Amino acid sequence: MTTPSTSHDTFVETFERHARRTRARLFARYALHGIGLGLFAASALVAAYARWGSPGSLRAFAVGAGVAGLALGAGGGSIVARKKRWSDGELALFFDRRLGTNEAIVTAIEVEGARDARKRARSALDGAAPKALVVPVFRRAHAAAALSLVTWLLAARVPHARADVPPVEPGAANVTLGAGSGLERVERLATVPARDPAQRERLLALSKDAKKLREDLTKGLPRRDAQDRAGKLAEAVRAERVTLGSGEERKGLEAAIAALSRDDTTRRTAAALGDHDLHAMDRELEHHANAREAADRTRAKQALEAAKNAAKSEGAPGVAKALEDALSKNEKREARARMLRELSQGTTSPTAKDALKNLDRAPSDANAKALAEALADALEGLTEAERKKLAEALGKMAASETDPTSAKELDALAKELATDEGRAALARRLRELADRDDSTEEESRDQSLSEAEQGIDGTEGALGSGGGGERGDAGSGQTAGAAGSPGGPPGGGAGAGAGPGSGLVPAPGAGGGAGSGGAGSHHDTGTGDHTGRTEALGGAGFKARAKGPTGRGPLMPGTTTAWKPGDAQGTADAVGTKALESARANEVQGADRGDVPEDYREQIHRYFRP
Amino acid sequence: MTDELESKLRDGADTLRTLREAIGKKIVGQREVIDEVLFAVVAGGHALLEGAPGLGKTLLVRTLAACLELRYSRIQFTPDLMPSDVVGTNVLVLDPEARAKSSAFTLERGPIFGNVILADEINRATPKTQSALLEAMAEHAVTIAGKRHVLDEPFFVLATENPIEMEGTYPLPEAQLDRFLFKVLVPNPTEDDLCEVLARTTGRETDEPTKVLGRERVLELRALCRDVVVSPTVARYAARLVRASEPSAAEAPTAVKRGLRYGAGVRGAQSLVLGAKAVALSEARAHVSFDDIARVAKPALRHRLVRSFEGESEGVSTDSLVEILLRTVSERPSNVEREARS
Repeated sequence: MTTPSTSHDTFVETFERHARRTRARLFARYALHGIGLGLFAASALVAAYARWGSPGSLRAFAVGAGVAGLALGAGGGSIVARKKRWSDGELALFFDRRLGTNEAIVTAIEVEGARDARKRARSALDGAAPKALVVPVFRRAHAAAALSLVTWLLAARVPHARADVPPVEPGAANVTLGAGSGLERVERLATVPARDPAQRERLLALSKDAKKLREDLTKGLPRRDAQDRAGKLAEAVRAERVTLGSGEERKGLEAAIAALSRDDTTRRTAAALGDHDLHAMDRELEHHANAREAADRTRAKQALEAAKNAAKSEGAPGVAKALEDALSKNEKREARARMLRELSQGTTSPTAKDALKNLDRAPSDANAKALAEALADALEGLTEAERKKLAEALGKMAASETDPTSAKELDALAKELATDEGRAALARRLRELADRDDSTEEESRDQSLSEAEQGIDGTEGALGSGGGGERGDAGSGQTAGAAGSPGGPPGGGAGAGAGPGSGLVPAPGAGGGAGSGGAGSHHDTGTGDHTGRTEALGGAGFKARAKGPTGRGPLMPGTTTAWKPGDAQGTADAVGTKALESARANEVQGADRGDVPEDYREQIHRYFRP
Repeated sequence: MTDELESKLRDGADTLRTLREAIGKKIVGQREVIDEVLFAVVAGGHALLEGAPGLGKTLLVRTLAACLELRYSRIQFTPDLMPSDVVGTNVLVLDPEARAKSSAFTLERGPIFGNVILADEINRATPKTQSALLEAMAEHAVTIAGKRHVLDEPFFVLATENPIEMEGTYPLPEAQLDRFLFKVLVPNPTEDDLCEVLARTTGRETDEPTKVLGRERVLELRALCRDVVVSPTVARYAARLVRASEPSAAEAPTAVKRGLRYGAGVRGAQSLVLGAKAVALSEARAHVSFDDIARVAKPALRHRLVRSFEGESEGVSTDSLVEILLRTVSERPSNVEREARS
C-alpha cells in the first residue's frame, strides 16, 4: 500500500518533470518569436538602408543590424517568455485538457488533501503518451522568421545594384555666395578709363555680367553654372589685360625684355614686363626712382630708354608707349625724391628724420609720401634757424629748376617762408606732392584689371574651381614654346596647372607629338597644335600570359594573386589597401572642374566617395 | 485511506446506479430526468419537476419514494389548500385523561413531516400556502403555533408543476423557486419510450419497486457527496458562470444583457457546485470537473434566471441563455485552451 506522502512526492516529481519540459518548450517558442521579430526588423532596416542609405557600408550595416536584431529579439523573447511563464495551475489545466483527466491534475495541485485526485493525476501523467503533453515549439510564424533570416543574409551578401541608385549629378548642387566674393572688383571696371570705345563697351559688359552673377549667386546657382560663368568672366578680364606683346608686338616685347634684362638693376622689371604686369613693373621702377644713389637712377633710366628704343625698333609701339610712360613717371618721382631730400636737410623733426631714413632704406613711393607729410607737419614748429636753412634749400631748388614757372614758385615760397601764409603754402605744396598720383591711364586700367582678376579668381576659388593656373596655348612642336608662368592667385580648389603648352624639348622627328607643357599661364600665347601622334603599334606582336609564373617568395602585403569577388561599392583598389578611398573631398571634386568627359567624372565619384 | 475513499465512492456510485435501475423499471426513458432528481436527492436539495400532464412526474416521485425506505407524503396542491393542511395544526384533545396528562391541545402533524414530500401541482396553491413550504425547504423545520419542529432527515421536497394549464394557478415567486436545487424539465417521451409505456401500463399491474436503500444510506451518500472536493479553478469557473448571468456584469454576454433582468445568485452558484459534486459521486470521482459543472448548469440555473421584457417577448428560453453562458465563459485561460487544442 502506498503511503500518502510517497504518493504525493511521486506526483509532484512527475508533475514537475512534465512542467519543466513544457515550460522549456514554451520559453524556446517565445525566444524564437523574438528572434524572428528581431530578424524581420533587421531585414526591414537592411532593405531600407539598401534603398536609401549609403551603399558602401551596406554589408557592415546588415551584419550589425542582424546581430542587434538577433540579440534584441532573443532578449525580448526571453523577457516575454518569463512574463508569460505558465503557473502550475495553468500547466495542470493544460495537462488535464490534453489527457482528459476531468481536472484531476489541477485538483491535485490546488487541493491539499485530494488524495483520490492526486492518484488519478499521477496515474494519468505516468501513463501519458510521450507526445500527448508536448507543446509545439515551432509555429507558422517562425517560417516568416526563417524567411527574414534568408532575406537578411541575402541583403548582406548580394552586391548592391548600382543601377538602382541614380548617380549624383556633379556640380548640380546649388551654391550661394554673399558679399565680398570679389565680383565687386569686376563690377568696378565700369568706371575704369578705357583704351578705346570698343574696350569701354567690353568693360561695361563685364561689369554688368559680374553684377548679374553676384546677384544670382546671392540667390543660389548650380555650382557648375556658377563656375562656368565665373570662368568666362575671368577669361574676359584676362583678355582685357593682354595688351602688350600679343601678336605682332611680341618680337618688340621680347627685345624690350632683353634690353631690361641686360642690367641687373632692371632684371626684375624685365620679368614684370614679361608678365605683362605693368603694375608690378611700376613697383619695381619706383624703387629706382626713389633711390638715393644717382648712379642707380641713371642706370635704370638708361635701361628703360634702351628697352623703349628696342621695342620701338622691333615694331611694338604699345610696349614702347608703356615704357615711355614709365620713364616719364620715373622722372617725376626722381624730382620729388630729390626735392624732399633737400628740404629735409635742415629739419630737426624726429618724424621727418625717421621718414627720411625709411626712404633711404626702402626707396618707395609710400616712404616718399610719408616724408612729405612729415615735412609738412614739421613746418608748424619751425625755428628761425631751420626756416633759414629751408629757405636756402628752396632757393637752391629754384636756381636749379629748369622749368621757369616752378623756379619762380619755389623762389616765392623761399621768400615767404618767414610768414605763416608762406609756411602754409609750402605745407600745402608738400601735401599735394604726397597725394600726387603719377600713374598713367594704362597703369590705372591695368591695376583695375589686375584687381578685377584677383576678385574673379577669389570667386572661382570660393566656388571650388581651380585658380591655380590656366591652360596655356598649345605651342609649336618644332620650337621650344614659352613655358607658362605660374598661374594667378591660388583658388579654393585644386586646379590643374599643367597646360598643353609647347614642350621645352623640341620634337626631333616629323610628326612629333606635343611635348609636355609648362605651368599654364594666362600669358602663355603659344600657338602650337595637337596634330602630333604616336606611331601605330602592331597588335599582332603582343602576347599575353594569363597564367604567368608568380614569385615563390612572400607576397607584398595586401597583394592579391587570385580572383576575388568584387565588393559592393568596392573601389579600384587592387591591392586591398583601401588607400584610394582616402581621397579628400576637394581632390575628388577636382574632377568637376577638370575638362574631362562626363562619364569619367561620374566614375571618379563612384570610386572615391569621400 | 485512499483505498477506503475509493471503495466508498465506488459503493456510492453503485448505489445510485442500482437506484436508477430500480426507478427505470417503473419509469420508461427519462434518463436525464431521473439522474437530475437523484443528483438533487444526493446533494440534499429539493427539485421542481415541470412538465405537461401525464409525463410521469408524479409517478417518478412515487417510485423514488418507493425505492427508498423513507416516509413519503403527498400533498396535492389546490387553491383552497391551507398552510395548516401542509404543516399541521394543534387540535383540542377531548379525552380527559389525555388532557390531564399533557395539555388541552395536541399537534396534528401535516404531510410535511415526512422524508420524501411530493408537492403535486405546487403552482395551484395560493402563495400563502406555497410559502408554508419556505421554512421547511430552507431550514428543514416548521413552526406551528409558535413552536419550532425540526423535520426528520433526510428531508427533500419534490414538487411538480404544469406549465400548460395556467388558469387558476399561482406561479411560484422567485424566492421560493430559489429554494429548489434543481428545476427538472420533463420532456415528452420518444416513440420507442411511448411504446414501452403503452406495453407496461396497459397490461397487468407490475410489482412495486424494491427498496434499494434506507434512511442511513441516503444520509451517508449525502455526506459522501459533500466530501467530493472542488479545486479553486473549477469553483471559479462556476462563479464566473453565475457572474456572467448577471446582466449588469461587464463579463455578461450580449444575449444575457438583453434577455435577462436578473441572473442567478449565490444559491445558483451553490447549486452548481453541489449538483456537480453529485455528478462526480455518480461517477465514483472524488473531485469535480468542468464537465460536471456544465452537466448541471441547466437544472441548477434555469429557474433562477429572470427574463427581461425583451427576453420574454422574443421567446428566449432560459435554457438557451444557459447554453450561451456555457459557450462564452471559458473553462480555462485562453492561452492554455489554445495550446491544448493545437
